[in-house]
Amino acid sequence: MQDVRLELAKSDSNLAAQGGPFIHKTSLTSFITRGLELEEQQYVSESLPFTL
Amino acid sequence: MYQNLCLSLSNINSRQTLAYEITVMKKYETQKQLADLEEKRHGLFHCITQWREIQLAYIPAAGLLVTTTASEVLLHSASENPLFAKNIPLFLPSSLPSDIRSTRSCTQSMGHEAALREAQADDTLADIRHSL
Repeated sequence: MQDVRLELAKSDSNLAAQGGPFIHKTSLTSFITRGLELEEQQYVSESLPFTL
Repeated sequence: MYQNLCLSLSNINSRQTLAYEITVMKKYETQKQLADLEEKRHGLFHCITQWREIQLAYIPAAGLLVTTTASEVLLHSASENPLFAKNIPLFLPSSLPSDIRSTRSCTQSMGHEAALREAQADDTLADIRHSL
């Protein structure tokens, strides 16, 4: 996972260096990574004996 | 509009918490357990709210879906079956309707999601193999 994140982060940086549009201070890779982490947290909470 | 909804959601959170604590009090009697539970719930909800801001920047076409969901959370907050943080749809790119997925802003996000999901699956398989 970490090597793919690094590869995508480099791709994000290259795009920005080439004058790509600035969309948010959080990179696209970080945005999607965080989304997947949140998804996992939601799944984990399903297995807890109480409701998050 | 979305920010206003988030503010409203925060305001009603205490009422929701009270109702919820009454429900779980029978099973989780100590104050520490209840406090831990509430912190986790609030933490996940807060993280999702923060992430939404970034989501709307990268995929503005998802705005209507996100706003509608926030409205539903607000609507159900005072009911007996509130929408808990674990049930709030995230709307990651691959789960968006096709008309939104085909927008230019979503295409790149989908490529990143696909690559990261594949890596995530590889890691999980490696963990399983390791534990066998």
